[in-house]
Amino acid sequence: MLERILVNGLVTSGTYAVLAVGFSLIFGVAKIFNMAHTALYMITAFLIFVGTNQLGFPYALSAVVSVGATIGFGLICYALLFDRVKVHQTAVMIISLAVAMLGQEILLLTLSGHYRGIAPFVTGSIDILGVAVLYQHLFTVLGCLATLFGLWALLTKTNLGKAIRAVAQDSETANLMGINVSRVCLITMGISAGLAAVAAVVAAPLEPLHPGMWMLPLTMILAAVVLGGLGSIKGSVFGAIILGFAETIVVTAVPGGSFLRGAVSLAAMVLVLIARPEGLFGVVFEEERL
Amino acid sequence: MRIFGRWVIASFLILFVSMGTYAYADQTIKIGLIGPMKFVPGEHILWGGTLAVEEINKAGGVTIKGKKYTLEVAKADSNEILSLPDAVSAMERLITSDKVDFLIGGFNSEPVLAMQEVMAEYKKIWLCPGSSHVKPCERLAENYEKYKYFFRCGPPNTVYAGRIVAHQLMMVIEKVREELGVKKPKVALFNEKGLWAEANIENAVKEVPKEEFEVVGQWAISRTASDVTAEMSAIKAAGAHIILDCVSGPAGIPMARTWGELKIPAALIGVDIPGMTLAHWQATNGMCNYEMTMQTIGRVEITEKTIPFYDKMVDKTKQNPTYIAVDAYDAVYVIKDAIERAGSLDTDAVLAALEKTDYRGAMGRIKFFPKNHEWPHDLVWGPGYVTWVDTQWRDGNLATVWPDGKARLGMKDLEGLRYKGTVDYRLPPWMIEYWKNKK
Repeated sequence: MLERILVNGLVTSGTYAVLAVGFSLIFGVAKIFNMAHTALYMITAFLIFVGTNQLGFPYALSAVVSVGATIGFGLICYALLFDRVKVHQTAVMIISLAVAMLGQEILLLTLSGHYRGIAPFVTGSIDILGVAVLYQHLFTVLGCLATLFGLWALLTKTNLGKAIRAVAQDSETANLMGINVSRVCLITMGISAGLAAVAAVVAAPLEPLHPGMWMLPLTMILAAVVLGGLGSIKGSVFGAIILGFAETIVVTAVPGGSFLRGAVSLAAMVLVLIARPEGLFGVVFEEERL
Repeated sequence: MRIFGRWVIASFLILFVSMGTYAYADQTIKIGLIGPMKFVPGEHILWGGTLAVEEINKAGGVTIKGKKYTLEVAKADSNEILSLPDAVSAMERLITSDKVDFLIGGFNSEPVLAMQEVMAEYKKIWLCPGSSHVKPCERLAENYEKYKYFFRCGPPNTVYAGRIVAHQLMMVIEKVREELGVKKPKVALFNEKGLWAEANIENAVKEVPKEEFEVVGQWAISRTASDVTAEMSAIKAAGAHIILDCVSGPAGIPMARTWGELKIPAALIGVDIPGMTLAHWQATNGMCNYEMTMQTIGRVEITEKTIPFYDKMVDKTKQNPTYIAVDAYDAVYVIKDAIERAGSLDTDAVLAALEKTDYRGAMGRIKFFPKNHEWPHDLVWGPGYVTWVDTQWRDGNLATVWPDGKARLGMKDLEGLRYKGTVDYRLPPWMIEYWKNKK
C-alpha cells in the first residue's frame, strides 16, 4: 500500500505544485489574487485539443502555440484589467473570477459541454515498486519537476529573478533602486500564465476536458497556497505535496470514501491554519517572501 | 381605370386566399423541448425530438377529427447541469412565453423534481426522457391530482436499472467462470457519489445471489474526479476480476482510459454515461475497448423502427443516439398517438389517452404504469415491453451484447430474447492473459 501511496501521491502533487507555484508567484509579486489562473490551464488544454484533434497538428506544435497564446492572453488580461485595479485586491479577485467564468461560457458556446480528451503522447505503463505507472504520469511528474527546477533557477540565478524577488519583498524600495516594477509585474504575469500553460501541456492528456474543469484545481491550489503560506513559492510546493499525498492516502486507505479526497485535503488545510494561521511557510516579515 | 380596378380585385382575392392558407397553417401544435442544450443530453433531446417532428410533419402531421395539424418545436436550454434555478425558469418560459402545448425533456433527477412544480402549476403534460430516480413518479402515487401530467418516457428507473446491471454482472460472472475457471469472481464496486449511482449499484448487488461473487471493496469517487489512477491501482491490488461501475460525469473518461492503459485485469462493466457516445472512443484514445455499458438501444432490431432511427441519427449528427435521444424521439410519437386517439388537444382528454398508451416505438413497446401502481406513469420494463440493452466497445464501435437469449436471476421470459444483430460479450484479452499466467 505504501508504494502505491508514494507513486500516486507524487503524480497528484506534481500538477498541483506547478499550478500553485504560478498562482503564488503573481500574488507574491503583484499582489494579484488571480482566480482565473486555472482557467488559463483550461484554455491551454482546449487550445491543444483544437490543435491536435481538430486541426491535425502534432502535439508538440500545438503545445508550443497554445502556451504562447495563453501567455499572450494572460498579459492582455494583466495590462487591460488587473493592472488598473491591482491596488484593490477584492476587485482583482472578482474581475479574475469573471474572466474565468467568461472563458467557461465562451468554451460552452463554441465547443459545447461535451467531455473530450487529448491523446497521450506516450502510451503504456511501467512497474515502479510493484505499482503500474503510466508513462504519461511519469512524464507529468518529470515535466513538473523540470518546470519547478527551471523556475528556481530563474528566480535565484538570473538578474530577472533577483528583480522579481526584490519587487516581491518591497516594491517601493525596488523602484527606488531603479527596477521597473510595472515591467517586472508584467513579466511575472507572463511567467505565471506560462506555468499554468505548462501544467496543461504535461497533465491535460490525463484529464477529461470540459468547460468546468478549472474549478476543482482552483480549489485545490487555493488550499495548497493558503496551507503553504500566501505568496511563498516554497510553501506552495509543500502545500501541494501535502494535499496530493492526503488525497492519495484517502483513496488508497479508505476506498469507500474516495469521493472525500478533496474534503479531507481541505480539512488538513484547516487544521494547519488553526495551528499556524500564516500557513506553513507564511510570510511574517516581507523579506522572507519568495 | 378599369384595368386598375381588376388589379385591385385580383389583389384582394390573393390576399383572401393567403389569409385562408395562413389560417390553415396556424393549426400547429407546439412541442417544447427542454434540456441542457450545451451538453450531450440536451443536444440529444433536441436531435431526437426534432427528428420525430420532421418525420411526422413530412408524413402529413397530426390528425384531429380529420383536420391536419403541424408540429412545431420550441427549444429551451435548462442549463440544469450547472444551475437548478435556470431549469425552472426555462420551463416557465416555455409555458408562459412560448406557449407550448406539450413538454418533452429534463435530464437530472434533482432539477426534474423542481420542474415538476412548474408543470403542476400550469397543468401541462410533460414526457420526461431523463431522470432515472423513482422519486418523480413516486410523487404521483402520493398526490396524483397534482402531478398527473408527468410521464416518464426515459431510461429504466433505478430499481430496473439495478436489475439490468445485475443481469450484466451475472453474464460476466458466468464468462469469468467459463474462461478463467474462477468459481467465485471478485467484484470491485466503482461509483460516483450520487443518489442514482449508489441506488443502481446497491440494487444490482442485491439482485445477484451472494454465493455467486465476492465484493472486494467499493470506491465512491466524486462526479468530477479527473484522475482515478489511485483507485484503479487499488482495485488491481485487491485482485478484482470485475469492476462494476456507475458514473455519469466526466470521471467516466479517466476511468476507462486508466483502465485500458494500465491494462487492469478486470472486466469493466456497468453504467458509464459518457461511454454511451461514439465520442468516448476519441476521448479515451481507444482505451475504452471492451468496456461494457447499459444503453436504451443499440444498432439491433429491437423493433422495425430501431435501426432506421439509429441510422438517421448517425447520418444527421455523426453521433450514435444515446438513451435520451431515442426517448425524446419516441416521446413525440407517443404524444401524437395520444392526441389522435383523444381526438382533441384538451389536456384531460390527451392525459387519459396517454394513460392507455400501447405504442411500438424505436426503443420497444411503450406502456405506462397505471395510477394505482407504486410508480404511476413510469415505463413498463421487461421482455415484451422495453428491455434496454448492454453494449460493449469493440474497435471503435458499440456492439450490443445483451439481452443474449439466456434467462438468468429467475427471469424465465428472457430465454430466447436476443435482438437480431446482437453479438456475444467478450472478456478483455489482456485480462485473460493475466489470469492464465497467474495460475
